[in-house]
Amino acid sequence: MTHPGNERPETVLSVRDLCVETVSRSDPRPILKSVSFDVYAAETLCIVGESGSGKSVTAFSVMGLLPPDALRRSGGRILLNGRDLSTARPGEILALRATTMSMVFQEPMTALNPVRRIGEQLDEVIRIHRSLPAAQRREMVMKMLTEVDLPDPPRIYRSYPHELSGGQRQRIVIAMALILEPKLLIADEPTTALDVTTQKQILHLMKELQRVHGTSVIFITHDFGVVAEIADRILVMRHGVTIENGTRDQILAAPADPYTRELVASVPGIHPPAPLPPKHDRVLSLRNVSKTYGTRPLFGRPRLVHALSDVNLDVHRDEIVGIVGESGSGKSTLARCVIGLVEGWTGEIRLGDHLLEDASRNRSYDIKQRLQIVFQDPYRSLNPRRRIGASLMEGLTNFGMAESQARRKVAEVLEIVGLDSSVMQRYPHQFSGGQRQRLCLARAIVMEPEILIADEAVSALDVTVQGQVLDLLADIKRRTGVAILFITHDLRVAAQISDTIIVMQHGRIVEKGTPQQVIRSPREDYTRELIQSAPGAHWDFRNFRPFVAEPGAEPAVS
Amino acid sequence: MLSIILKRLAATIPVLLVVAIVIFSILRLTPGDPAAIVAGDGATVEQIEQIRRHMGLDQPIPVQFYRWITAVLQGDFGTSLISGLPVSDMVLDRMGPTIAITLYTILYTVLISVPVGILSAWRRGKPVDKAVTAASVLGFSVPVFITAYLLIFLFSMVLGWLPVQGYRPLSDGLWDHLRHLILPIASLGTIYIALVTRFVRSSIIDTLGEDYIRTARAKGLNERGVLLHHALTNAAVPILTVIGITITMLIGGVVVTESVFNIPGLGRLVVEAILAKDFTIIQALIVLFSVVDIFVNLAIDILYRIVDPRIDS
Amino acid sequence: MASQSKLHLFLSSWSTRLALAMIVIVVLMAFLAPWLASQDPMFLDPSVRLKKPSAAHILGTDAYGRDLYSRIIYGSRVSLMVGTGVLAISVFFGVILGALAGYFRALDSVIMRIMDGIMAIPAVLLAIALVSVSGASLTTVIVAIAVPEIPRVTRLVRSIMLSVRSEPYVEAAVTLGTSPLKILLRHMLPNTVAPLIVQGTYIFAAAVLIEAILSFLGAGIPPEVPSWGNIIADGRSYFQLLPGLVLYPGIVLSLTILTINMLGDAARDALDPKLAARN
Repeated sequence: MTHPGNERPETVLSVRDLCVETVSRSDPRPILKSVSFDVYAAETLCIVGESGSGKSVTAFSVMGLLPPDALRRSGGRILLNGRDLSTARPGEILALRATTMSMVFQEPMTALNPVRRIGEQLDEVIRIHRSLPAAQRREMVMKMLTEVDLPDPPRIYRSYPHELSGGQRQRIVIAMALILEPKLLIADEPTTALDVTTQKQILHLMKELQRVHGTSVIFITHDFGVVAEIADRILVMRHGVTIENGTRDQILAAPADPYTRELVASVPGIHPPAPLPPKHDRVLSLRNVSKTYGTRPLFGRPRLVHALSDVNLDVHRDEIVGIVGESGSGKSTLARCVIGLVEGWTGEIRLGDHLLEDASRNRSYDIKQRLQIVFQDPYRSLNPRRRIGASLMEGLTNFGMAESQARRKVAEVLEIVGLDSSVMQRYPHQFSGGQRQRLCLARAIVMEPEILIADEAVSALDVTVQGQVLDLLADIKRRTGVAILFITHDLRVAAQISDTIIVMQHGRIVEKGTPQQVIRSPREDYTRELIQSAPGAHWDFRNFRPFVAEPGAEPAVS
Repeated sequence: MLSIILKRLAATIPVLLVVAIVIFSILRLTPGDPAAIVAGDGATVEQIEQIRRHMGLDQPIPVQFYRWITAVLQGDFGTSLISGLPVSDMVLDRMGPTIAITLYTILYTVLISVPVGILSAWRRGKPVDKAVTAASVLGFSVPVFITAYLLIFLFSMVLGWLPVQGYRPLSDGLWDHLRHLILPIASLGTIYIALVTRFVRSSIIDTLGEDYIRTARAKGLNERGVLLHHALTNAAVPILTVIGITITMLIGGVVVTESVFNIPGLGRLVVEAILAKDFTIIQALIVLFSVVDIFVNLAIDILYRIVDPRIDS
Repeated sequence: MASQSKLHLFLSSWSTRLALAMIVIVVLMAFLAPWLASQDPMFLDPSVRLKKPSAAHILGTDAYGRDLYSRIIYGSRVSLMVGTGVLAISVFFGVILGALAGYFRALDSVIMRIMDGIMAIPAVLLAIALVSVSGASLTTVIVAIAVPEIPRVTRLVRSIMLSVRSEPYVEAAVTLGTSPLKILLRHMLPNTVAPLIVQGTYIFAAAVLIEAILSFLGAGIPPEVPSWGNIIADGRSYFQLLPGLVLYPGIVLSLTILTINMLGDAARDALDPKLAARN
């Protein structure tokens, strides 16, 4: 929304040399080092960075919400509308919150007081800062509820937070933030915890509200796709330092700093690479697989949840099947049924010729060895009290392989994942998230499985690390011919790595095909919706330019 | 709501059964023959046998249990083996002092520990908090009877302000009634105030770490508002829990307190009965205490559902 | 490594170091009793009964003419033995029952109903009842106090089992073919060590306390044995005459329980970072 030709718009926020350090008598660590940036009227500034970059800390500093026993501002100035917040009294800062600057946080599910009604919580914002009669306040709240596109405002007013979905709760939080029309809205990863279709709605809503009220927005995110959609200007941060600052086009098309280049290039675009050769023999087949969870209260009807309904699927050697879906789609349940961590499913799953038992504990060691899994959270996937070597050898020694032989095999596999065999002596806490995920991969492939399940295995990783692990997965597939079930909520990632894409919704397979088929010519409305919700689809990140459709391909993306 | 209550009531039945079985078995395992005790020294073998049959002790154990349970459900707790009086009468007789002590102590505890716990949490790390925390550890470490004797030493013997022991029912006059209860309640209360304060403090601190507190601060609400309107209502659930647990533990403390201050209540009755191996009283009282305990927890459970709208939706 | 820093954290506050020193003193008192006491604690001498503190009897004598100081010194033995015994029994059974309840869903409801039943009976009363059933002796007192403590440990272990069961590294072990027993021992139970250390100190303190209560009520250790509760029980009839008979052993008892509880708090702060942040 900045118009280069016009005169300079007013500066709403000006941060100069902001320094934040940890609270410690003996040894304070710097968290933010001389961070400086400006935010102009009615524009969206995206602050981007990986974990540990300090982007959230910056936001908390501006709002004065740094946790006093952990962090403190050690230098710099924060000018909001010309007023220096760093010298303001606590009472003044309280008065500015919600009236001049507001914040929206990442987790909508826990952001609202669970024991008070929604209307009351919205009403509270007004009561804190203005003395208006009750009827007028109620009117303001109702108007705001309508503005954030919530149906049936009177019902929402009376509801409790647990009666609303994540997307609805986030709308409430946005309503609370904007009801007194502040000049600045800080949004800290507000859509990261939401499904991609909901994300699209919220992003659209925020853009609309910004247009109507003229609010400046600082949008913090790690997802460059989102940045490409909504940013006017971009600030890149890393390890508490600002790396680069510029307009959207400047940063995306011509990033000056090598870190920025690396960051932008790692972003998965939704457009799949060139078509791949056809498939080999089948290793896994699912027929009519269903899983129902039920609660049976003493009185009343049993409540059933159909996590999976009638799933049919074939997986071949040397194939990566990307299983994509939002929350509740059943994708994780499917993976866990295959590996036997979910019991009581019906239907047939065949591994080669063998019909699989439903629970892992009922399966023979032979079978277990052929199916392996890597989980989402690298920080909880390794026993923190055991050395890496012991954890990685566990599967092999379970069936009596001699320790020396197991050790050799693990060393070989460590080389494949790019780690030195000396890591076997160390403990998990000594490694980063990306390294731990490699170790978990090593633990899985040392068993020489036919099927490897990656259950959101890269979702918790920084985008640069994510790219490395995806490359590693492709490499492993090439070397060993293992079939990979790649579960993800991010269609863009699936598009980059899969040979076949499966789209799931409400426990059913909705669409199936090659990435080219699914993304360029989707058959189902839901698939289309997913594709259109994928942020940044119009930008080709790897090549630092807007996406240019290949001649002959029908773009499914508007 | 009604169906929930019924369900919880139904769930208490197996627990009650276990309690009844445990108590019944323990007592039946006691060496020593209740019939012989009742008959007294110098009784002949036939007299003892007669008493045994009269008491129903010659029946197989499951039958004895069945008879006892059905009698209890009809309100008949049997007769004391030692005094020969109906147990229900003895219980009613000695109920007054115990109820008085228990209720006053609960009131005293809640009135002090909740505000102090909140204050301590609010001023975390400051001198007030450190003092409260230190006092709490001291409070629940000193046994009830030691606190009691220390207080008696100071207030009765040295200062002479309060009586050393004894009990006066309400009918004897309010002031006299209370005067005799001040020291027992102060001794008993110390421990529970210490425990509940500690717990209130940590509940509030935990609640203050939740995300919606951050949202409230982001709205521009001051610390007082955050504490009163957001933290307190959410901490109510765990605080109710601990009050429920305290009531259970209170029974053990009442026993000792009644002993030190020579108060003729149920606690002392139980101890006397156990030492005299008077089965009927022991069974009746322990079951009674356990039932009270279970129903207190049921009441707390129902209170939760009123306070927290998330449960049962 | 990590455990060194925890020990360091544990010892960092002066109050913890003081508490540790006091416990060491009590332990020494117990072990060196024969040398620290001025005379045989059971030695009766009616000619010197109920004397105030003097050179011959530092804290005076009780109603039977026994030296109060010596009896208090020997009393530490009883308390420490009871504490240790109760701790051992309750942790042993509590861990087994908690692990079974947490790992095998079928056993869970049965075990927990029984634990609920035991917890519904006030601990002191249950202990008294158990002692009167089996006769008063050190062993029976230890067992009687341990039984009501077992459910606490069971609940703790069970809840840890339930939460750890869904950790990815435990699920990974299942898919790698690790046997249930190995999973329990290698991956799940180690998570109980730190909480058990903390809970264990509180159980130890509670055991010392309950033994004193039992003895005080006349339902515990046989009266001739010098336990702090017994000494107080003996002295209570003469309280107004010689308050020291009750107050001296009472203060020693309270200090012992206090120091153990302080150590428990310090252990909790050192071992659980989340709890430590509260304090």
